[in-house]
Amino acid sequence: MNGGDARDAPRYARPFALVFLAALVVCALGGWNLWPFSSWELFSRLRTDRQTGWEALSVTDSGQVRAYPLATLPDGYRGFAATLARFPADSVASRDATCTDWLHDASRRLGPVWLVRIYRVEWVLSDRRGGHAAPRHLALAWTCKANGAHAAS
Amino acid sequence: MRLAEDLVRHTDHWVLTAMDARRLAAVRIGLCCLLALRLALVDYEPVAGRTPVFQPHFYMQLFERMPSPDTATALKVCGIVAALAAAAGLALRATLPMAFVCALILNGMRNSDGRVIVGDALLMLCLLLLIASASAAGEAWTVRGPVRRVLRRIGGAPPRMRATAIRPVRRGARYGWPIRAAMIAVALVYFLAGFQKWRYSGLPWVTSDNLRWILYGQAHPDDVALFIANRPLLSHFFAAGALGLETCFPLVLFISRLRWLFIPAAAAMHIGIWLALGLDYSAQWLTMVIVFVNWPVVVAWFRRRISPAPTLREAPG
Repeated sequence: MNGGDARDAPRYARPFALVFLAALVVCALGGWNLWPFSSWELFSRLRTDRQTGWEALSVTDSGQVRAYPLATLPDGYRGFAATLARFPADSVASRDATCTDWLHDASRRLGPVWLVRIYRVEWVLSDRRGGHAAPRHLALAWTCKANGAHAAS
Repeated sequence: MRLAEDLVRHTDHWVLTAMDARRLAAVRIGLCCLLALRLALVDYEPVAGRTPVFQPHFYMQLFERMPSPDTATALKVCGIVAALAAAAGLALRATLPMAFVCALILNGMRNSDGRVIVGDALLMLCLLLLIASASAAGEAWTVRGPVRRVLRRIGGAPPRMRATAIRPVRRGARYGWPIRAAMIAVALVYFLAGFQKWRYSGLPWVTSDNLRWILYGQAHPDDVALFIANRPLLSHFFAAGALGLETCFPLVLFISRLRWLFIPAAAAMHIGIWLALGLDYSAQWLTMVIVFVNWPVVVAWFRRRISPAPTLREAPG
């Protein structure tokens, strides 16, 4: 480390550097994500081997059952998951409207669809079968029809 | 008390150290070219125009909704042009903030979609320091001279005689403090990432199967991810290496020889993360390389290799 003549540094250099570096530390300690002053918490919390997610299947008018590709939805899988997280608390009208949107979207992609089944998926990461993950456990959560959303009993 | 005063004085002296103007210019060129590259390569279209899951990042609250794809494209083009002009040292007081603001909005869009993306955060933080350095970042290695000559020739003015004398290397704290502050920021970013792992998980981050679950937990783990995840000992080794590296990274500020070990190791860690998890941290590790490498020394070394004529001795940094 070599020192130097600090006289030609601008007057604001010292307070600016101090505030800048303090903001970096304070945001991390406070857990605030004031991007680009991030909290740097990525992957900091322990993961468990129990995982949950969502899957959807569509049933066409001809009776064919096909996977409804959630990842290719306009808001992606995360948008779908975020919608379903608040789905039970939404009003009936809001749920019905969302379901109609999904039905229309599925029909546009896969041909005439009369039903979309939404499943809650659970799996255990440590449950491996050879080099592959063990089959996932699917539980029906919601059914979307033309007349609206129906919770699985 | 005396010790604390000495520490503050020493830190102050270290940050406000004199450096070569070309080194700050090299950081300007490197960071601005990296920003232009990131803006060109990152696809902002998928988040543009969204409304249903728009969870605005704090400064994105200025917008009523997510900017449209057309706005995103305009910001992208404007940001790339401004970043390249700033890299060339042209109208730095205007181009650098313009490139920064464009990138801030585009990154704000990506961070307003329910997920924090920190890959470009360090680059943006270092650019902020570059903006704060004002004109100092544009006092060497610019294309202003050649541009002026071309404009003069176009305007019909007689060309001025080129100075043949070797210009003295400009040094000063005004060139040094942004680089030293950026070095501390890089070191802090790595240290804080490690600190948060200690804070929320502690030693089990290494000793538990945490890393295996991260690798297995992807939608489609690739061969690299499965190779590590299928071997618990290897997973613990990589977890220990990552946590050790992040925790000890600030040592590079005090022991400059450690940079030869820690900087390639951090770059290798990010490349490993990209291979195993598909997460792109190239902007972060390239920023680290741009900030820590003494580029005038590298350039002088290349010049010596190309033409072995004696050159001015480069100052160490």
